[in-house]
Amino acid sequence: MINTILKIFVIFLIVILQFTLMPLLAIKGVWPNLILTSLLILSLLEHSEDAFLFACVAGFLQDLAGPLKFGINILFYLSIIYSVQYLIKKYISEINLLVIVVIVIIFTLIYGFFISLIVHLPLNQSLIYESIYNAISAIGLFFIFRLVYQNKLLITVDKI
Amino acid sequence: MPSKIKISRRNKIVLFFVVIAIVGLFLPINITSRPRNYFWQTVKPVGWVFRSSVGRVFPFVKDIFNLRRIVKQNTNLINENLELQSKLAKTSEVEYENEILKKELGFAKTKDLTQTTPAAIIGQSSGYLKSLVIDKGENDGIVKGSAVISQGYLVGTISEVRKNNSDVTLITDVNSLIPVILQNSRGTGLMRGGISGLVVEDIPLNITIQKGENILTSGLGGQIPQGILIGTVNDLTSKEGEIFQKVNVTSPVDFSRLEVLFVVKTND
Repeated sequence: MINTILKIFVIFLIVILQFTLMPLLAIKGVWPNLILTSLLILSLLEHSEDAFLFACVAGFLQDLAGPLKFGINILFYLSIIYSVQYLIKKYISEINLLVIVVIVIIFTLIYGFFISLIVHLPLNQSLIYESIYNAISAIGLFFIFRLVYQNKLLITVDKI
Repeated sequence: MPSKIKISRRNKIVLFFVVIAIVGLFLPINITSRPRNYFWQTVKPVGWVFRSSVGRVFPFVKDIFNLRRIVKQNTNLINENLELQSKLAKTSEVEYENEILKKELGFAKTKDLTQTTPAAIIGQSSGYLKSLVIDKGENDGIVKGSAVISQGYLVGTISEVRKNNSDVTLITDVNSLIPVILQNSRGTGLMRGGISGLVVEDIPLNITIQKGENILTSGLGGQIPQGILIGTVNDLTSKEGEIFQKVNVTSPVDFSRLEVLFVVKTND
């Protein structure tokens, strides 16, 4: 239980960082999407329990705080996990940095295309900038997440 | 005998959120207004800390790579400043003369019908829509549609008001539509944001547009008072055969570096 509460707190922190810190790191008007990138890394590292929790909580908070209709992000994030799981099962034999970068780029483009369609925004090159920015931040996040899971920082809390 | 279907705890949680999401899609958008208000109230201190730390350091780091441009810009601004100071002196004289003439003719002193409320930016909820969340809301007398200015220039309008905070749609957003007037040629039009920058459309053909003339709010419709500066005409983009003219507008405001905003409240 403590473990789950701690995880929800971490997710809440990531969502807050996405809304407050990330816009300040904008280059050419775009900033990294910490929520989407974290979700993709969790799915690719095959921590499916955490990935589902992340998709539900982060999607819920993003829908609550954002300008879009409630529910869009929850559904989109959940479908991302299922898509990544399918890709891992069918096509990806080994998860390495290159795979993570490629998957992050592809899913950022899909997410951008999907949101642009909903808010009637014409497609533009900022989507490409965002996917590159996300891919770079994914490299850093990959090492952070790997460190957290290897050291079992979150799991040990339950045993205390 | 039918076997009992077992649903794991994880699937139950996922199912619960999927149902919430599907129900949410059919509900009106303003139903989340109250929780949204509380969310942004919670986030407010964090937003303030990041704005006053990272928000000041990161642009400075970016500027280091643009030193040559900044030095050039600085020289231009010094020259422009001197020019404006001489213009200001002349304008003050005209204003004084104007007031005397008004008194002679028995006109009542013009009252300023607008008030401004300073507001700090808490954060940005979407990277796709050019919008901000500010720390002033219904409790501070903010009304939907009010103009938001920064450094004397119009930067956006209030798109959603909650109890303690509001959403600002920037004029660069694709959904922004502002009625404007061209200061010298007196042509009116509608200004839109978007990926190709700020564009004023629907200017009648009989208007002779001058490059560099100021674009101001026209005050036609809505809560935006007239006379707020937006930018200057950059170039004419309409083609031959079109029934209206179209111009590109340049705003001197750097929309990625907005700090303190002012919400204009009309006292009518």
